[in-house]
Amino acid sequence: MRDKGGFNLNHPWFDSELFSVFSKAEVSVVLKNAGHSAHKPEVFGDRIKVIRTFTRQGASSYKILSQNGDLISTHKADLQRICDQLEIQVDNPLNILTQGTLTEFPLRSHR
Amino acid sequence: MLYLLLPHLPRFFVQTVAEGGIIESVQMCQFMCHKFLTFEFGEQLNFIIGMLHVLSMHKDHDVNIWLRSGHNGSSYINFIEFTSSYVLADPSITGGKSAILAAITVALGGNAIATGRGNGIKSLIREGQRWFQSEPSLV
Repeated sequence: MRDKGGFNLNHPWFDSELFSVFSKAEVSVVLKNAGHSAHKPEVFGDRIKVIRTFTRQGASSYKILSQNGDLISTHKADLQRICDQLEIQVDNPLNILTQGTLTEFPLRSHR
Repeated sequence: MLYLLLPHLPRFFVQTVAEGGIIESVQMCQFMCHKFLTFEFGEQLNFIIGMLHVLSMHKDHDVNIWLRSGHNGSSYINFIEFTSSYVLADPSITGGKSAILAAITVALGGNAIATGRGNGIKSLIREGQRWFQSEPSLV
């Protein structure tokens, strides 16, 4: 059969990792958890590790690990409780100010 | 030390490292344009400035490859130029700065709108190179 040329996505060149599409991403953050403002130090220890995994299908899961690496919880409500206790407000622009939010400020101000 | 000498002094007058509620490290896997990136923060104020730099340049007869690297793992080969017939480039050359901020936001329960990019959290998953362009040279 004659090759018609043109753009062919089935070409073995596209099998390389350069063009692959990944279905899952994972992000983790380690928080210090000591001192007088610690959240359940008897459970978590000195460090809390939060792992969030999300897929292209829209599923998203949390894992909250203690200092020793034990799985303590998988609920978002527990993560919210930790953030409240450690005074981390993610959606507050005074804490995290993105470029997009910054450009909105002059638009929303009165004159 | 000053706190030991003057115990009645309020705690916030003494320069100490925070004991709780600070972020120690961030780790991301297949996130935005990074295969794998670990970032360790210092104990006090952190400034993250541009990390992207050209590490080495490899020139072949037919293929010019600029290897951009640094600690940010954003697509190791960012620019490949086939001098003969093809040009293959990645326009999404970003540093790791905004990815670190987005990773903190996402990992601590924020949605994609809070990160300020993408219309869903699934748009933050890495997808190979963004586009490719072919330029056939007609002799």
